[in-house]
Amino acid sequence: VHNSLARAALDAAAAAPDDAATFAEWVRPNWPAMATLARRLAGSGEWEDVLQDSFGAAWRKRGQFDGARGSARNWLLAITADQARKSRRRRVPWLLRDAAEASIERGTEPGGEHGEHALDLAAALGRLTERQRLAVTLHYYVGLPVADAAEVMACAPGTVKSTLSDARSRLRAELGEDYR
Amino acid sequence: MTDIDEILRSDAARWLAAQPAPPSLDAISSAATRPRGRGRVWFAVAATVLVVAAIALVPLLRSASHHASTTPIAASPQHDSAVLALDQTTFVAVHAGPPATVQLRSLSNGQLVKNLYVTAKDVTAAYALRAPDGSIVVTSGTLTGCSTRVERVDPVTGLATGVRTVAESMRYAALSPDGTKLAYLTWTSCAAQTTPPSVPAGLDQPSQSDPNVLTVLDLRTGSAVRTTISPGALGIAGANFGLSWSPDGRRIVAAGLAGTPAALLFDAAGPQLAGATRVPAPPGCSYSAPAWTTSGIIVAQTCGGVSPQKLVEISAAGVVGTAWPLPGCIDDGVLAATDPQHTRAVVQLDLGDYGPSCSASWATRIVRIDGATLTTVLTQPLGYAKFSSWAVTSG
Repeated sequence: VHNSLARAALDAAAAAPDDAATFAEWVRPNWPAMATLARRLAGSGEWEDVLQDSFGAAWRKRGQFDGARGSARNWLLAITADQARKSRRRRVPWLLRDAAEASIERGTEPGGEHGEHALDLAAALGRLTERQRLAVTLHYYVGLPVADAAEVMACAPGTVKSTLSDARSRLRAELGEDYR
Repeated sequence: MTDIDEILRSDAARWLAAQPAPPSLDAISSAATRPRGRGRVWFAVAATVLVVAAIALVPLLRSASHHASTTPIAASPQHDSAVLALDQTTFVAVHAGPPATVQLRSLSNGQLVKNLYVTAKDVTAAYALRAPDGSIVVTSGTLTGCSTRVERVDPVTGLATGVRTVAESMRYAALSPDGTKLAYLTWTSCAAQTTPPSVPAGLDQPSQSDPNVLTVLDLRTGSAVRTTISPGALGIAGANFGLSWSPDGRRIVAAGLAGTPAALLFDAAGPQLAGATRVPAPPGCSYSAPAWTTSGIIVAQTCGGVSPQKLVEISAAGVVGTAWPLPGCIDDGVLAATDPQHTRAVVQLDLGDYGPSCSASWATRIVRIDGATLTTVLTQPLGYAKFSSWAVTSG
């Protein structure tokens, strides 16, 4: 009971903890979501760096967190998305692999109908714009409701919905009628 | 075809199940206190030099002009040619594509009267606007962005005649009362001009998600006047932004800009943000989704939160007239439209799961303004996958 109460108090904190050990505990429940976002947005050779950089950035910026303005999870995910974006920008343009290739490397099985379609989808996802890909990743792969995705993306929920709608339209066009 | 929403959910479930556990937080936590490596400095310097060089070369590789072109386009094939009576009984909506379908729907019960026109398959952004002569002006932007076809569709024969193609994307298109000018928002530059080679051109720019350049295009000459109405990035406050012409065609109202609670009235002949008249919303409130009718400007008013609470009629001088309370649980997605004579308005509202007291299901509702009351024309359930599956674009 004591642990769960301490956990609840930590989750509800209006400010990020100021000592390293408590800060790590504050981040811990959101670590899997941060890892998912980093994996989806960064390449196979990059995502662990992105995750580590995200933790470091969150630690450095902990004084900026305001629980009244949003949840710890959304704040941490926004930092992770920003680190992933910076990671991509750091790469030389002609070496830039899009997320499709990264997704393919991440373990989609070659061969077979499912494998081929997964490749198609990964490639189509990789051709979305950066914000479309972020919206899709947050909503479908991290599992955030639209309102939370909007908090991460620093925009209105309607903007997320229209971005998702545009992304789905584009995916439909990319995948074609035969895709199942 | 399986819906893309279902495909994404299935892929996410498969992908998540196949992922190993994330790295130990404890190890990373301790590592975060160590000084950061400098190995990326050279990399960053090299990348910066290359990006600067690439940016410098862009104008040499592309035409510097970003104004509307006058490329003629061929007429589209004839569609179903049933005779339609455009006698104040229908409104125009666009069923999202691709391809997009321009629909006529009954103003009494929302029922589909006719699928009037189908765009090309690669069209992802379309508006259909009723002109005073009864024709429907259709704008259709392609998947690759940076190009929009403007066509005039005969509502009787279904024939589409090319008006012109413009070399940019259009959003929030509105037709002048005389049918000769198109007001819309576009981006400061085309995505294809700014994105790295491995990122295909898209409808959105990676670094600038919202269009912010108000443009008035003369459909007869192809000339355009423009003004930047927000610094860019997240310039549009959700999906409630809108443009509407004054009934005399001399001004354009814009409402729903992020950080701008007022409605802005622009001179249609030469819009300038600095010279725009501001019609301020009450303290703590904001205006969006305008429809300028002969009796006043109807706007959605939001006082706190995201959802507008009512429609209000305001004058250009800011005097508030009639108010129409809106149902609860309205999410973003408020669109308003008038008929070409600007005598009536219809408003689309997206009802959704925004807020704990609202239903988890989504629906789009069309309401008609009948004097002092709002009459629901129809309510159509929607899922995420079908959000904005169609939208009212003109009355």
